[in-house]
Amino acid sequence: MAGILVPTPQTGGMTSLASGSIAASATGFDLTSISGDYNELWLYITNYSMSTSAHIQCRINNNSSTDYSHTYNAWSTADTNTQGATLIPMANSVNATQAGQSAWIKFPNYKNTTGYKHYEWAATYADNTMWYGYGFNRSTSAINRITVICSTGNFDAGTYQLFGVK
Amino acid sequence: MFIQEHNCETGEVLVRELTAEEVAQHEADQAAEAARTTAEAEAKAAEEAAKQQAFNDAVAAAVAAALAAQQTPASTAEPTVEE
Repeated sequence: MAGILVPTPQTGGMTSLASGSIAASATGFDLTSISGDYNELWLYITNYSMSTSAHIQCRINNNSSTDYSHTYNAWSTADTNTQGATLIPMANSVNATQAGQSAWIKFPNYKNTTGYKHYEWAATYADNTMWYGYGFNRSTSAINRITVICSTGNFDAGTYQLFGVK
Repeated sequence: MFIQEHNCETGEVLVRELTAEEVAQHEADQAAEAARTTAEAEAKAAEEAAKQQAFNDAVAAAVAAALAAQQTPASTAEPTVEE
């Protein structure tokens, strides 16, 4: 009789690389000098709201060139395909009356220096909608900086946590 | 405008004013975002219009088929009885 197959335990895990509250006066936050010791980066943005109706956006390595291409779906609408964007549009308008919003974005194989950089994200949008998307940045540089900004105004609440995943 | 900078290596966190270059980039981002939002709204409106048109076309086709069926003359042949 064959023995019971025991799955091999996974190695690695998640290591917190940075965390904090978003300053209420800040139009965004900028995570710099990110370690290249992991396989993936996951960024959680939790319980946030904005001072005015604004969009939450993300940029890597301060790259504002037209290097971002992605597909995203804003709930019931058809997929939107964008080539040559200058940033990642994580979700549309969220304002101060819509507290408790959350978003995450992850970057697999972010440290490689030979290929494009992939990203995948999801974000709540207002009280009953969400965004989901994936794409890539045409850069072969390892990611060592992630910036999250409001399209206008500033955050008035929220926390962030960046994990390195082995 | 301010941005919160978090150095993941040292753990240092500071809130600083955006540089002139960053402000210019932010303004460019706003313009691009406005264009994206407009394009997205137009695409959504076009999608809704296409759905409505498809629905209208389907209803028109169904009505035309029903009318055509009503106007087809009934058969006048006498029923036959088979021995």
